[in-house]
Amino acid sequence: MSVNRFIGRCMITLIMLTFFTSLGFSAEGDPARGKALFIGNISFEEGGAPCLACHGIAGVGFAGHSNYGPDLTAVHENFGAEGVAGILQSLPFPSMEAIYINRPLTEAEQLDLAAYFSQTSQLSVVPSNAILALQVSCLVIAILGITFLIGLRRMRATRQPLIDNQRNLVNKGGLQ
Amino acid sequence: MNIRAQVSSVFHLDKCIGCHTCSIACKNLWTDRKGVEYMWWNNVETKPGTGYPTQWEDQQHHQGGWQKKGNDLQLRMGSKGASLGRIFHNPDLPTMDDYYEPFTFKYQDLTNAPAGDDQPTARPVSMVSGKPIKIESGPNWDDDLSGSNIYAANDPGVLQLSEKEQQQMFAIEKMVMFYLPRICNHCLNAACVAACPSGAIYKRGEDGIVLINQDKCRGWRMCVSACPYKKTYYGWTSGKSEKCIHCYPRLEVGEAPACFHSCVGRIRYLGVLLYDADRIEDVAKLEDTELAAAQRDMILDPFDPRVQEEALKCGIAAEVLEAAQKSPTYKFVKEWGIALPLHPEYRTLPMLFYVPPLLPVISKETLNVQKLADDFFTSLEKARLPLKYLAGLFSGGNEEEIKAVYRKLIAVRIQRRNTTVGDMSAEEAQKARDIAGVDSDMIEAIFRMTTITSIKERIVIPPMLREQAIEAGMDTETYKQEMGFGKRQPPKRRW
Repeated sequence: MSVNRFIGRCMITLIMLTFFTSLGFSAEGDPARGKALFIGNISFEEGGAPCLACHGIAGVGFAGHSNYGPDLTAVHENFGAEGVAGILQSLPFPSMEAIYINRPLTEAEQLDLAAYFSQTSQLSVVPSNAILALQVSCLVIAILGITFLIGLRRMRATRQPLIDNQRNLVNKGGLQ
Repeated sequence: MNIRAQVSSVFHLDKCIGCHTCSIACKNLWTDRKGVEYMWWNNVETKPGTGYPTQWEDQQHHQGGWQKKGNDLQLRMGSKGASLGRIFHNPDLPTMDDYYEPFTFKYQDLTNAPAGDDQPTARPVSMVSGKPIKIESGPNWDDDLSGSNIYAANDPGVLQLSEKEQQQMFAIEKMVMFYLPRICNHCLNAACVAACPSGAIYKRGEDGIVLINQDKCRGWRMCVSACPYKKTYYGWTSGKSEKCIHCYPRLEVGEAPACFHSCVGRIRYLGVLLYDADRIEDVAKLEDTELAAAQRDMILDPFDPRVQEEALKCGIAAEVLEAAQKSPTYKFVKEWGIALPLHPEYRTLPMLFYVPPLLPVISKETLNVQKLADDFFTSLEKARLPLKYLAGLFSGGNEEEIKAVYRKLIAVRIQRRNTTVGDMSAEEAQKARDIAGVDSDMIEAIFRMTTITSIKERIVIPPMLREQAIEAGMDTETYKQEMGFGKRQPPKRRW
């Protein structure tokens, strides 16, 4: 296992090296790659969890919309390029530290993410919870409705209807 | 032939006075616990009436018992697959409304209430919620109310009668009722056993008593809806179902079951019947009207040497055979043919038989003189209960079965009246005997058994032979030393 993993690591480093040499160690990140890293289509090299596991962001649809951490759509606008770079370097938040302390982001990954964030800040479409809430409530109503319909057949009482019938007859004057 | 022994019972309905002593004896002995307050392993119903739980006889609603599906028998609640599909959602269970909300009274208020102008009262409180309730039903709510236009009028047996017959039943001065005590029938083809998804219910091989293994029961409650007599109940604190155990711990030490022992009217007879187990399936598939007679045919004659030989081969002990020869139930059901099963059309082959009630004669008051009514009941045409109603209860709609029993009971009544009162002639008695097809000796035997026998003759408990049963598994001495409180069977947890 460990040998396999070692070989795997070497391969990845080799590929990365060729990749970086071809780019000539550009300081500019690749936003498309950043997005892939954010969503988790490409895993972080050190094995950290993808950002989308906790953070929502515009442009990835409802399926990937998480709200455990704050929405990161406007993070570039709020903190500026330097701020974002600083945060990505150390991820200094209590809940994130625990996850990333042993799995830090590589420099290339930081650059890619920063590049991605600088793009998303221009996106004005902030994912709305309203549609999701509507969908969920429709689903809940449908499930409750089905349960109710099934419940109509379940456990019909016997005695009370007999009494009620009798009372109805008496009320209508049919019986004394 | 596959001969087996069954501890079976006969209840003589003409003797039941509806005192509920049996129910109380049973309740105090077995179901005086929390969460089982509503369980009446023995209950006494007024007929006509809806019974307990309400309208338990209406199988369109309760889906109990068996039905014929082509050439096969199937539980009315559905095939195995269907009931598995509804295992978390059984729509056929009786509700609390069908039973009743168990209640008690705040007796402590009678002594602890602060001084005031009024007498303190004990308010009824629900044993489910603990809150005060208005008591609206109970296990014998319709007791004695044979004319009630809610309970009596909605008796499923009454509803199947014609308008005219119904009016006749509830006519003033002709009002008629009787009591129907019920316990578990310990059926030969028990629907509860067939329905149990856990395989927790079994029929004891040696005596045919149907029991629920409390270690194996998982509380699915399929037996509750499958039993057409609604005689299995779910225990709300134990999470297991329970039912009448025919007081087997008492039987094993030679004592009569509590309800039999305490019966004031001495209506209950107990004894062993031998039957051919190979015929169960064929008999259960017969037409409704043939079932009562076919079930009687299944019962074997313990005096027949061939039967005795076969029985010994099938592992029935000689002592049990001897008990079968003394069995009063054999006499009632087979020899005299005056006891019939309750609702044989449910096809469970119940082994509790009833002598249909002939009912007391009507008396009339004219000018302050109490006289027997003119239509003193001496013929079938003057039967107080419509035969169709009785046939619906005891013979799957076959009125001929009821007529045959009634003719014999009438012959007994006339002959005894001839002997004791003398206002019926010997010729009349002879004529009644001829019609019924019985002889004078049988009539005297029936008379004797129904009136003056001692408990030893009425309740013939077979030797339960526990020693032999124990010996089959382990050394009796070891058993005595190690199994004082039964076997320990810890539940197997898989996680």
